[in-house]
Amino acid sequence: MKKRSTIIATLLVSIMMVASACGSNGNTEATNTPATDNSTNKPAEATDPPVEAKDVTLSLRHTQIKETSKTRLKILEDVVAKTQEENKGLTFKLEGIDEIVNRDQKLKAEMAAGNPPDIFEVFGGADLNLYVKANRMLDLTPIIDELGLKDKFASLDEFTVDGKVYGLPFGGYSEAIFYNKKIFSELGLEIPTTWAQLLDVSGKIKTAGYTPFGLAAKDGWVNGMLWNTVMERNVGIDAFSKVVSGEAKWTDENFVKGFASYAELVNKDYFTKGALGLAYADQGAQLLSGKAAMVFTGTWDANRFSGDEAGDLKGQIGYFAFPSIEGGAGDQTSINASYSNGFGFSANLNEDQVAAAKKFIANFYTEEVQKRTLVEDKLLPSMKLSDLSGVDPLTTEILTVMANASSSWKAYDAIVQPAVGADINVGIQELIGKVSKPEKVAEKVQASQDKANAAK
Amino acid sequence: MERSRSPQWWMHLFLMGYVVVLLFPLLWLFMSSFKTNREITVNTWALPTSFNFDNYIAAWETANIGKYAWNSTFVTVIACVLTLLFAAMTSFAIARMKYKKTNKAIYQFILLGLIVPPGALFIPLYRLVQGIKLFGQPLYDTHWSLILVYCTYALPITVFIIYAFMLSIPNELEEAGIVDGLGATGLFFKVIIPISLPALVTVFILNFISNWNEYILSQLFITSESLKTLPTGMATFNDGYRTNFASLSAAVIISIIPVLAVYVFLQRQIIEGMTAGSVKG
Amino acid sequence: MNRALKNPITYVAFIIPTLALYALFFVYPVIVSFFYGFFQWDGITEKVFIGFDNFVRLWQDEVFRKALLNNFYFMAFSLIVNIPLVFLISIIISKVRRMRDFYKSAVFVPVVISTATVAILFGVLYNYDSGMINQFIRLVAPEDWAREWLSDPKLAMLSILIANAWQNIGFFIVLCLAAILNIPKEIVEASKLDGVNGWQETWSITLPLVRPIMFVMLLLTVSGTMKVLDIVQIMTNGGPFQSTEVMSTYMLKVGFRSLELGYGSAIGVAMFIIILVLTGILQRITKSEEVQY
Repeated sequence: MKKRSTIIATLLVSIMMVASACGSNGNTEATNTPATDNSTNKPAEATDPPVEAKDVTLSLRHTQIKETSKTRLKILEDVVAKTQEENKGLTFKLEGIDEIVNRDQKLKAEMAAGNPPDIFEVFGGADLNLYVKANRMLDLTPIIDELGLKDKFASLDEFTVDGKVYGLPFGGYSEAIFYNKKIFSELGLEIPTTWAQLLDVSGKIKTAGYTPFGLAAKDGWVNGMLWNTVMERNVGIDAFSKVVSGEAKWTDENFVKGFASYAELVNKDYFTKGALGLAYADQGAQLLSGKAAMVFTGTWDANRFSGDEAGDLKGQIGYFAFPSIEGGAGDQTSINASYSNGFGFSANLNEDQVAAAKKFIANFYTEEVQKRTLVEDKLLPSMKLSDLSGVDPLTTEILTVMANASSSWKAYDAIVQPAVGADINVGIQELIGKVSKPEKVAEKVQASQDKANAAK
Repeated sequence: MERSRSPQWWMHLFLMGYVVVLLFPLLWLFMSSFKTNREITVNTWALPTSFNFDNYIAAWETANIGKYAWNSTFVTVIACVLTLLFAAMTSFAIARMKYKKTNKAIYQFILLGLIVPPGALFIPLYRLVQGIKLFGQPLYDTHWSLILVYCTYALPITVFIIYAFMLSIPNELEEAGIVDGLGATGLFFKVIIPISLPALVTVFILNFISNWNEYILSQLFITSESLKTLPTGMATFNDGYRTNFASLSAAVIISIIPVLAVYVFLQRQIIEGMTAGSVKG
Repeated sequence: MNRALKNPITYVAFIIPTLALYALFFVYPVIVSFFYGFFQWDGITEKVFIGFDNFVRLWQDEVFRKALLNNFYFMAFSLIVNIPLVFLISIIISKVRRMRDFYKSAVFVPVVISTATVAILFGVLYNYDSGMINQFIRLVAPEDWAREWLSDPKLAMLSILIANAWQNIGFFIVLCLAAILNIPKEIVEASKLDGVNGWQETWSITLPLVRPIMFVMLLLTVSGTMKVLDIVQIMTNGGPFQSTEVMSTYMLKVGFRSLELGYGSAIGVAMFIIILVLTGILQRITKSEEVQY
């Protein structure tokens, strides 16, 4: 049975190979095949120079199709246009797809069949590891060595497997607390630096009739953010890897303490009422409408928080690091920062295509592009920048918070197995819904961890 | 006229109450389409401060609605017509023609289509479409990939509904046709199709709506920007991190107008016409 | 008569297009997906054949059981609330003489809106703090009657069901109305001569005559509610803490997010069998009723 499916798969793969080989041979007619009923759809190719031996085509899949990512798409298009101009005969075919459809279905199906696009957006961590294991990803180590990019990145951790680099992040984020400066000054509050102060500040905010922490808890990962940092303060980030290796357990004292700290915020009613039914976008709206004083989230929201929707709160939203928790085993001034959104390249690329991809990398991963992304899109740079002039105040606050952090670490769902991550999310929701106790949740998560560890 | 004695006001009261509840959320959506995002965030339920059409302009331009709407119309109409034709032919064959055993088997087989959860099929379906060539051209990234798949997935419910209607057609009508010398094909086009029009129109609208709104398959099969369909434009305003409610509501209003127009048109022209006609006939 | 309707060439020609499309785009992917159910597979790397292990695991999976119960809740609600409401409204619309067109169009409007939009819309209506429903409740009743519609595990499913009904009833009404208005006037006239009045007429004539449509609606309800996906996925995504998980949302979560495509496919197979059994039972029931009648 297995043999047969392999044959079918090989057949499919070889059909795809033939198709993509046709595409990359550079014949304009061949690259234009799909649009049988719409001949005017690719003006870029119609103006191609006459067939040359060095004609190379690269397909590039991105997910910047939303209104909010117009700026990012423009920057990508500019780099592509520049690269095409510099290299006659090189054509990029851009295709934009919904991020979730791509991540859950399209890219996965293509990876299984072995015919991913030549260049594509990919998430570091679990997704990437899987694709590397299946030998679908191009090893970029020699390319970044040659281009001298290796040390320019803030972190390549999430794209590195066994010492080799398989993807390059184009941006990053950190997670901490955005707050409403107006409410803080109105109530005479200081930025809290310890857990006790945080509870004190939250209490005062609540008494004044505001929601201390805006929360939209429908999707597990949203709650996971604050929980993750609270837990790290209690156990240290290495402990997360240790539960995967079996050296530690979720039911250990420190972990239970972490769950309990989180539950403390819940039990004091510091979160938005009815949060479990709210979609993520609502959380930002709570801060911007002036109902919530703080929101724990990632810096991807910085753009929204400093935009028009903020109304009279424009310029009044700030960012501060999560306080330390006394007696915790973690790094008390560390921050969750990650560089997991990036581009990967197909292992199927031929020599010419690899050379072309190299040119794209050289043009895309520059200080200039990174700076532009930071200023226009407020996306945190994945590369180290020497010049930080011209950024807006909120971005400056974010960069300061990150610069002051003693260490950074990646999120729990990039460390534990996906099934365990899902059960953690359910557990946190149970705490928020007050239907379970920290010890109970810890036991359940450990049970899930045992199962996942045994499967390996 | 004798029945007019029975009072009707309470029926109108009931229906009006229902319609108000039904249309209220849409009225709000309509209102929101004239507000700014700031207004929606802060005064969710208030009336718009002014009637400006900025959201409509933004929606039309940002979401590429002009181009996408044409693509959607093309895909939707062809898929619906094909579905209707194939489903009506099959329903006629299994409802009216005299092959008892095969009819039953085919009917049950097609019914299976109502049972399978489509979510399970995305990956195999995508791989299949990528591999198919139609008349020497790849099917992937063409409108035909959507048309054929939409058509296939609409067939079970369409056959199911049309079959139920065709079963209830009295034999006398057919017999009259046969006396007039019609064969099976003639009966189908001249007798059965006209009588079944109300049912056909109803499922046409149903399929029209689901094709018009379909998003995942269109994302999977279409990669060329110029071939994308309307829901892609809608999704532009909702990226999961942040919803541009103002533009989204304008875009929704724009996208439902053609569908409502189709409905009202078919409703008045055909259903009413047919029921009136069949009474006389 | 038999000859005209026993024409093998026409018969085959009428059936082939449907069956061909069906076999290619439907049966083939279904078989492939069922086949995955027997493997441990992350979707990308080598599959490992594990026989019925996925199904054994499914049997013991509490979340799946919960999801199945939620599907039954969904089905029961739709059968007990939606269907009678559909009949009531259709019959009333068929009885009013003025503004029938208006009602017919108005009830249909929600149907044309995509589920994604419906879910967003109701998300706003159900908001605890600023939602219209709670604001209305606070206006006419004590403050603590306001509810956390989508985040209270006891209410979340009901809230989804109401949104679902809001969107779907319209189509059934139109279907049902088409059947009611299609009843030959002669039959109605004849019954009137027998002295049957308005509501008796409904009971003794309309309802029996729309039975085929009733069966259509029942079957669509049963299969539709058992495989429901979109509205749950967008409104609560199975939450809070899996209290609104249905089989489809669970299948997709397991298959794509937790990278267990094999187990996800097994859930799909189980759904298929469950719905098959239910629709089989439904067909039995309606058939035996017809005989009685």
